[in-house]
Amino acid sequence: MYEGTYTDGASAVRHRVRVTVTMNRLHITGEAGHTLDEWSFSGLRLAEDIYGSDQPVRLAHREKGEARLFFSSQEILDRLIVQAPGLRRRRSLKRRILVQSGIALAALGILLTVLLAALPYAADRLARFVPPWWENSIGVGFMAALEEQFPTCAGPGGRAALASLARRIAGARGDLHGIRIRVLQSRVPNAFALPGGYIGIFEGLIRFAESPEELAGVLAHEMAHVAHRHPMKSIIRQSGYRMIFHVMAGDASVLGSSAAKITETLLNLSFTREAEQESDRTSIDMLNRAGINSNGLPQFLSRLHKADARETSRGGYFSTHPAPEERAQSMRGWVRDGSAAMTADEWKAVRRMCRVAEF
Amino acid sequence: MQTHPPETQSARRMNQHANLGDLFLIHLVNIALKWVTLNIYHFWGKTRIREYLWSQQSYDGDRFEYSGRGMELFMGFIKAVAAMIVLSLAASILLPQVGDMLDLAFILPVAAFSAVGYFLMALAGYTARGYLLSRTRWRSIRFAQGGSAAGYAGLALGHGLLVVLTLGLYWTIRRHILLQYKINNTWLGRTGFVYDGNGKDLFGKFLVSYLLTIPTLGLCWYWYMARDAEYVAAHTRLQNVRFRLTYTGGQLLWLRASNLFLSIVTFGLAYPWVTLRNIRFLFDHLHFEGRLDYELVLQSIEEAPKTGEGLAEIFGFSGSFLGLGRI
Ligand SMILES: [Zn+2]
Repeated sequence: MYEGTYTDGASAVRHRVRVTVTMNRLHITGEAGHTLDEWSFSGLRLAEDIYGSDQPVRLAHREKGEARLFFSSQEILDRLIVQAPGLRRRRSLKRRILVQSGIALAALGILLTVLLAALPYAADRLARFVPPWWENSIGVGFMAALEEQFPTCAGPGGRAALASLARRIAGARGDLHGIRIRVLQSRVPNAFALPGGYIGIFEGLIRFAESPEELAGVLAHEMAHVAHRHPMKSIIRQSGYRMIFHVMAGDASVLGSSAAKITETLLNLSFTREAEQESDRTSIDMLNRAGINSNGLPQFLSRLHKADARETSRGGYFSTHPAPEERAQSMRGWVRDGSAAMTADEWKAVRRMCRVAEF
Repeated sequence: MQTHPPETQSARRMNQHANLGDLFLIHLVNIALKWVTLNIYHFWGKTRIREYLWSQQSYDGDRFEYSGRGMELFMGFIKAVAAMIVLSLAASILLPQVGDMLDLAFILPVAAFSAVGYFLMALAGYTARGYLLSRTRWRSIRFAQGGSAAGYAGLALGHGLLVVLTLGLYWTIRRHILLQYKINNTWLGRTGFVYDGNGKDLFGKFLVSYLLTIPTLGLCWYWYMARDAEYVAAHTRLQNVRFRLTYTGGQLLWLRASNLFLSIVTFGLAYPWVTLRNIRFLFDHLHFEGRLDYELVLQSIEEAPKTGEGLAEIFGFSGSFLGLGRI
């Protein structure tokens, strides 16, 4: 027999009770000798972990709601632990902690895997819901930031030549008629597409191109990125990764500033291998349909790859466009001969675009 | 309270039975597990600390019980993160437009943003307090919080504007309006706490502290806060029980300064010690007058919230309740 106190869960009245342990249950008797309640062993649990040997024992029961049994001595626990295995679990702190951390790690692994696997798919879906005006404002903001860093090359003849080339490549595709092309002063041979149909070409790329068809290939490739909305998808995906990372790292307050970091993400815009292949395919199609010689892009890629192998430049084309050889190889099956991308005069004007700006 | 009095003789006092060694062990294990689980364990660790602390505090011979679960905190956090993602997306739509306005008009969106942020913080604090109360039991009876978090946050924001407009002079009036809302919406089962204090009663002392802030380097506020705490306790009631809280500004200053010192020299490792010191300080100075009629303290029939504290976690604080500390 054990002495303790009992609260029934309905009022704050405390009853002094005597508890006898029978074969499969606790028999709770009030001071006057009447039965207050009976608790079966199954469903019995400790209301809180027990740390020290002097800590009182508080019992709860699955079927008894908020009623509690309270003992100032742990004697009853030594007796019960044999028959009510549910109690043992909460008593062995060390084992519980090991089990919990195991479960936590496994859960974390699963969560991360699921999130990382689902993210690209979710990002592609989400990109469809981004309204054009918003996408446009992101592009405008980013272009403005870039133009502050790299002056725009404004040679008017070159701009007109590029614009008419873009119109020819776009052909009947209405979604590519709003494309805006900027040539920026930088020696890096690269080009990029931004949300809202902005395409940036660095002067270095124009210098490196040996023919207008090579430039047309790169331009068509970036236009294909725009057509597939790759920039927006990439932004959404990368901010998703960032958020997952911050939540995992536990610094939730960083979430608030993640909006500002989208800008940073834009700087590292890089597309996946599938996005590159998709754009390659589309760009060759567009060039073929426009009747422009589509050998330019694979040619450009191979040449740049060879040059790049000699001197690896940071921020170069391959930092944002992976697997050049593979891409060039697969494109060779689709390319067709065709007319020149520009007249000799136009090509000259494009090559001189940045020099004009210097005067 | 150097030695723990037997629980039967310690009626009308809050007693604290926690053992620094145990709390320290839990704290260390928590740190290790948080590290291993990339902080995900945070919610379970916090729950473990609360469960321990609650069960080591008693009133009238009966210990408190914390019945919250780590998973509830975790789910609350996930929900709040989802809400914040939506909000930050909305913010990123507005940001470029804000950038365009270079004249004075850009103050407006900034002010609107701070107001929204402030509103959310008040909302978070009130919700977290409600969760904490709902998971606290004493003699089987659940504590609870009524009112509405949005109502509270609206009150906090509205009166907060007046504080700004009056250069801080309205602060104490607002404090007691919010206290009224909070305490009058605090329940032990179906028995409500009652608060009838009014900031006007303290305005004279508040004004003195306000004017003495610079000459005393702000230290006068410890004396004001001690007086304020005494006033709040004296104007709070639970059924037949009245409260008395009697510490001086000097004692409060010593507690805060020594705790700060402890935290700094141990690089935060003294957290369990600091926590117990805070609880002990409160309990040593808190007196109860009158006795609850236990027959009339009945369990509430209302449902408790399912998840908790998510938003507060994002802002980096959690619920605080009866000075049990921000745990
Ligand atoms: Zn590409």
